[in-house]
Amino acid sequence: MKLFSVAIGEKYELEAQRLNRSLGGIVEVFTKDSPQYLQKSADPLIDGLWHKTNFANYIEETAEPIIFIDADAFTLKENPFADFSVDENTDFAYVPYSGNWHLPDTIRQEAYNFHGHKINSGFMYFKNLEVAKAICNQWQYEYLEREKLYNVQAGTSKHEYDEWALMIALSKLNFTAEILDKKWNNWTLNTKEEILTSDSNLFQSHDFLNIV
Amino acid sequence: MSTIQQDIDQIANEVAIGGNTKTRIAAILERIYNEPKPLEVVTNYPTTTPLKAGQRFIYKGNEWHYMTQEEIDSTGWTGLVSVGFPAPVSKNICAAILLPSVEYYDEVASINNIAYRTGATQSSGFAVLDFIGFGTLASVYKIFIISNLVSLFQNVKFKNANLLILEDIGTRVSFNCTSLNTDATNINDLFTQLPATVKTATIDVSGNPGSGTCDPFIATSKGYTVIT
Repeated sequence: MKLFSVAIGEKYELEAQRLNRSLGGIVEVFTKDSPQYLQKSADPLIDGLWHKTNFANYIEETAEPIIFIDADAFTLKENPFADFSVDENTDFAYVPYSGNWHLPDTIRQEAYNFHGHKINSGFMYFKNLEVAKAICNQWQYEYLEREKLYNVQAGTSKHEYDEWALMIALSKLNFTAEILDKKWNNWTLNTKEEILTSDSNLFQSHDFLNIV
Repeated sequence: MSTIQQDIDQIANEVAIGGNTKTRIAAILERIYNEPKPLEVVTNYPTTTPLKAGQRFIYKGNEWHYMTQEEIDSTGWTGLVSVGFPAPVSKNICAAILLPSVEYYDEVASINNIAYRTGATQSSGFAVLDFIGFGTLASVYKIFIISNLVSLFQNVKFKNANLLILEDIGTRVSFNCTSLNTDATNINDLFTQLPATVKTATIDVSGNPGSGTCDPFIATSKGYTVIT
């Protein structure tokens, strides 16, 4: 498997360094210093998120499956992917949010209703680079479409981040998706103690940069 | 109540003090009367004391007061607490959970997800989470209500949520109201109190008895995303 992440901005680069420390340096990280980087937006958040939605286009040809991991993720396990597996027919896999979501607009509500849950984009499996590129090409387009609605449509702003655009994109594609166990991306833990005592394989946090 | 001058005149008549001495004594007494007096420092958790209504004191480093009826009414706690109810003066220290009769029970919902309480006895009554306790509400973008203590209460109600300005930052919701042991009526009341928003603001009310039967549309129609 090829592990990939995007870290646009110093804060995210530091987090990506933690990610790589925790995984033995095997994550390829796209940053502002990457040759293919071009600023897409003057807003750092939008710029960074757009490059995340476009990440597959920064990967060199490979026959391996792709795993995308958010820069602020990390593991405390020696070999966290030892028991990772998906069905052979699975094109795309992710960890979903819990709860029933009710949105203030039709576009996002329909995307939610299509999938039946909100998709977390912090840890994603792609069967191969071709699948990843197809999803990213649609994802980055939908993300820019969402941007047009920021601060125009009620309850819509850049702080919705990238996941709604991903959900809209996937609803327009025909890939086989699989839901992963929460242990593959446990982003809800708040304290260091909770993280240290958890058996999850991966965590996400903007805090605890020196935990690894 | 007599004036300082009347007191001086009386003393002067009793001891036959003349002119300048009277003036000097008056000045000394005036200085004593006008000197700011240190507030009483209370070390044990204060309780409702009607006779002390209007008095201020220090508790855990912050200025508190025993509330008068006027102060209770202006805060919007009429009918919730009695005259002499002790509370922080500025009310920008932490959110207030009020018990129906007994003590002021501090529970902070911190933007750093760290909670503390200044202590109170357990109660099986209802509790009111009053957001006026957050002080500078325009800067509050994330509220996480610590739920480990609310199992003590039959129900949690909300007050002054119209003062909140919420906005999601990152993947965490801006308003986490999960597992507060609150019913649909109170959740709907919370939704009703919230002001309309143009920001991305998500309210999580899952894990409550009223989660499945509340009306999310009350909040989504005002621009919020709701998780039930």
